[in-house]
Amino acid sequence: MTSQNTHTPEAMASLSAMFDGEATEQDIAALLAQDSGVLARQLEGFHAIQQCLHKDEQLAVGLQDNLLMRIHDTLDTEGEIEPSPKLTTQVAVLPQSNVSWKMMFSGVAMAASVAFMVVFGGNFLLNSEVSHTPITADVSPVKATLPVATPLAELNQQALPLDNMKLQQYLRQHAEQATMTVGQGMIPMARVVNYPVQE
Amino acid sequence: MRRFSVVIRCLSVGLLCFAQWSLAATATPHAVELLRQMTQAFHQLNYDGVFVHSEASNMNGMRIRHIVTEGMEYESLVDLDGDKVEVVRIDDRIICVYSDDLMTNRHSPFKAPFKSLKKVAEERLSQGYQLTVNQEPHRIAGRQAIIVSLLPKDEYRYGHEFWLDKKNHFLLKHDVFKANGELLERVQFTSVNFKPDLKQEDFVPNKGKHTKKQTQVLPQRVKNLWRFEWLPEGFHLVWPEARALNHGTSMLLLSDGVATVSVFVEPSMSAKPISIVGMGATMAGVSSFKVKDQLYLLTMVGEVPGATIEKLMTVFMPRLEND
Repeated sequence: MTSQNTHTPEAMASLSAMFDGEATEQDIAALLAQDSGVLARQLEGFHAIQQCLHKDEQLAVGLQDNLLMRIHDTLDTEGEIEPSPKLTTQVAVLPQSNVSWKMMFSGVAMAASVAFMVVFGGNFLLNSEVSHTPITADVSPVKATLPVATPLAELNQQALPLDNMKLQQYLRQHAEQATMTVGQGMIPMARVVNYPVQE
Repeated sequence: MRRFSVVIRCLSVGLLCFAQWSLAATATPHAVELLRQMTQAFHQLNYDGVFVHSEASNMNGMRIRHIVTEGMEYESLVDLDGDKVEVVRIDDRIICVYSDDLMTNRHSPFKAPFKSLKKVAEERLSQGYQLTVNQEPHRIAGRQAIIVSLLPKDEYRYGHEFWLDKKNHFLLKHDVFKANGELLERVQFTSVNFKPDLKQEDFVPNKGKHTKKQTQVLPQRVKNLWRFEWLPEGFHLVWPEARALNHGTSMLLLSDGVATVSVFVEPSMSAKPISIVGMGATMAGVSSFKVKDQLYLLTMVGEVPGATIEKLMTVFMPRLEND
């Protein structure tokens, strides 16, 4: 992807931002100052990668990586791959065994957090001894769309039915990022296996 | 003259003892350096081991394998107690394979995680922990180990004990405990081979029944519109930007070098009171807050005490214009 790139990293970042629809005025100004021919080739590379991603026929990064391709090919023989990466879809029913792994890594199962010990709940925040910093204190909005926050105390307090499916996804995301952050190889991924599950 | 000679001898012996003591003191590996070598060991050594992970009343046996060949890292983690589900990492890419899933293809959306995070942030660690090294002989998985202890300096984090292989500083055992000494989580190797006969082909997952399909959105870097009015000493945002996940959710990541806290914020339709749940060392908090007319749901997950999650939730707010 970068073999033909003669631009600065900043220019490439601007191009990437434009490709993702996130370009700022500075990005556009920076791009206008670049060689349009080289930019076009770079964009073709981005498109090729995006096409691969969306078709899921090759891995997104390291297209030259034969082993990854082999892994994918191995798995391809097991069934079709979903064409769009935008949505999470499930096709079949989980077997009763292996609940934990499936829950954590597929983010599909429903109720792990129900089994979590509830330490605090309800109006805990309001009754806690921990000092609270008012969210509304002198916070100014970045833009008109981000005005002063309202204190939690002013919200209509309700029972808290945790969105277990969502929490599962978040726990999985957290485990993956911890794996990448704390320098213990993939050992933190082991943590997700032990989360209790209820279906 | 004779008395003078005795004094000289005593002084010489004293100086010799002092020199030996000095040498021993400087030879004592620095805790941060040991942790740094532990991190490097995970990436540089070839190994094939089995460890037990216990948390609360749960315990799982897992096999971990890792090789470095042709400049690439290959790593796999397999659950030994359930179905043979496997997580494969090839360099910076994590591929999760499940018995009921086709595959989750994660293409390292977060740039350079492994290679850039091999450094151990000494300053941040020392802000949050008192680090000590215990070189007394210990034995884990049949290997001599030394212990690096991280005692928390405040109530916002847990304590850690890392039992490192005396020869290569590989992590043989890791305990996470509360300030009162209560054990929350343990990872302990039962066996490990540092000369495994592994090839790249060994990291191709076994074929199984893949009856369920899944695709996931690839997170994008987006501008971080949020900030914390306060953070515990040593904690910082790992990424300068936020990550956009499914359903308009933004993710941030905090770390003090050992503990991590993931932050998820998303628009919401209903208000929810704060609630914190947890198991072992992992705590998760959920609450709602309002910015003008828009409700948001805030979720935090991390290996920190519940009080830390709770306090972080109260100081989370939109960025100021000049932030």
